[in-house]
Amino acid sequence: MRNRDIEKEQLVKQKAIELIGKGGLDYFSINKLAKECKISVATIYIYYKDKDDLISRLAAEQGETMADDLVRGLDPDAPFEQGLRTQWANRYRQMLNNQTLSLFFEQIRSTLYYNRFMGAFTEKAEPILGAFVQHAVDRGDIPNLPLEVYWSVAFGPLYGLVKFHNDGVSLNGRPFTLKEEMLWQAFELVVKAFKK
Amino acid sequence: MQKFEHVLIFKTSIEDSNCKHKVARVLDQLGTIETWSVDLSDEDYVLRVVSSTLSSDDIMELVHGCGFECEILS
Repeated sequence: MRNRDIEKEQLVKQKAIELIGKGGLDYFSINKLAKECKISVATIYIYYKDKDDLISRLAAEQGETMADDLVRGLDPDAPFEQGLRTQWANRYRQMLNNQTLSLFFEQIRSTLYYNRFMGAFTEKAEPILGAFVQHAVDRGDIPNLPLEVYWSVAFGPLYGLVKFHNDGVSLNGRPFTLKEEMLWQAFELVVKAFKK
Repeated sequence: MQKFEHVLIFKTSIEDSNCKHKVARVLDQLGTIETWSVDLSDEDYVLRVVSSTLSSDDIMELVHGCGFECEILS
């Protein structure tokens, strides 16, 4: 009889994210994963039907994890600036602490697995994020905007800075590392932009 | 919830959907298999069978009967 081993399961998931993030989906296989985890191929197949099943479930789980991270400490009734600051802090922290997850996300982005990821993410995060924006609109803190416009202004600058940081270079090829004070500089401008 | 002790895992030569079809005709008929699948994307073409009554030997015999290699994957 085979026993479920929680630690092994976690190791398998962690290594799978790493392998896919570094090498891509095509390169990834259960065989390679088994070698990386130093366990037998059969052990992995106890938990997962096949490669597709593994990646699907991983994508959904990571979507949930990312959602939890993003809404941590966010009060849907918070004043707009405060709530947005919380979200910027959460997203920034996630970027710093979870490079592996970001790489995994990049690999699945243009595939069907992206839907699984976003489906899980949206289901978890949308009630809180949506409520936060709606309350801000209702209070008159911010204008009523199409979601895409809101998102681009609210988070575009953050991800712009993050991209420079992840690339390691700035616009003219200069080496670049994001300093936290730059983040909050951009944030102040974003808050101003939303004021009616 | 699946009982993991009833999961049987094999390395096979079931290399593509045609091969899989041939095996399906036999495995799907049996009432003793809860579910089965082949990972065609993996170099071992892993056959995964969930059955509370059949043994590994039973499965290997069935798959050999279809004309494919099948051995227990350790």
